[in-house]
Amino acid sequence: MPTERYGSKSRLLEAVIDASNNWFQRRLSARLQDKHGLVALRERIRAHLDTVRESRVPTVALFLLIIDSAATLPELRPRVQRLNETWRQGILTDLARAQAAGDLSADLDIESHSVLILSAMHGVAVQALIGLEDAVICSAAENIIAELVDDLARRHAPAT
Amino acid sequence: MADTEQVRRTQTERRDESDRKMLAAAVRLIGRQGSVGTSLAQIGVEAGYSRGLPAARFGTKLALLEEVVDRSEKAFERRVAREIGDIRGLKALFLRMAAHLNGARNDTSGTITVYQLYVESIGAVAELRPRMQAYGETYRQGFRRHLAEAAEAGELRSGVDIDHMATTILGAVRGVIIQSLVDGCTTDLDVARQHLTSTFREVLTPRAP
Repeated sequence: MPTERYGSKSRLLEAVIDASNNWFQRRLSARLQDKHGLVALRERIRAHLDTVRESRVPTVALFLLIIDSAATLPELRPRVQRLNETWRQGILTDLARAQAAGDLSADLDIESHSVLILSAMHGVAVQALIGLEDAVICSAAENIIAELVDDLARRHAPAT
Repeated sequence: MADTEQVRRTQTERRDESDRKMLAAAVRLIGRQGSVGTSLAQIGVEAGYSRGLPAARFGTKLALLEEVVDRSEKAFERRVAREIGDIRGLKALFLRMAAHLNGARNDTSGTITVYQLYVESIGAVAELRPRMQAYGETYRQGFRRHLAEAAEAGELRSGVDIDHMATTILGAVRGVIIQSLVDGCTTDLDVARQHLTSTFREVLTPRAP
């Protein structure tokens, strides 16, 4: 049946990644609603790490595929790269809107900073999956927000 | 007597060499097919020995995997000793970040293997999880120690929670490495290191008046 439906194992795994991301994007949209800029970015970070906490099994499956794409399943790599890019673009859009709204000065390199925020979320997610307690995962999300969003926003606030 | 010592030393050397080759074979195979798809017998053959030697030497697959992790940890300790030495505080913190990224750049297959083991320890190889937790905590404590040294030296801005900050820094470093692995190493780790360093320098140090 899976072979008939998907044709190959890698297509099936791509479908797993798509389903997982579609589910997350629906959940994210519901949380972001009409939020923009830094408010949206804070909510986005919380949504990513809440998902790690609340849906461990699907998150473990997704991270297995992400790591497998680097090694045992290289045919999945383009799909995983697109997934990463989707997540990074979400962060980048929030940072760009914050800049446009005057909440961040133009001197902050938001391209590089979007990579850093996504990296911190990924790295903390791996730590969380291996054994952080729920409360620690929540505080890790708040720390990323405090350290990589709020503090930098204060330092990169446009001169008035 | 001298001959006996010579023979004994040679046996020890031979054993060390076969251990090294089997562990290197394990890293290659796990990187290619995951630890779940790798048997002790395959590791023996890949290393150029018999199918039974890994089991005779390590006993179980778990013990062999733990040895792979131990060696990776020791290799990183040697790198840290070389690149950081007696340096303390923020300078040591940034050198430690660089040591992680340099390690990933110089040994891609070893890095992939460690991340495979991380993720597999969450699911299919749960018995490895305590070792992987300890491995991650060792790295986090390394960052925490330098943050404490920086606080003591007055290098940190007030209000930095060094325990949480160590988690965020390790997370960011790991995330950059994962990104690089997924990108097929097209992520420039030197550029990533510079951005990590400049961002965390801004986050950690007192604001200029």
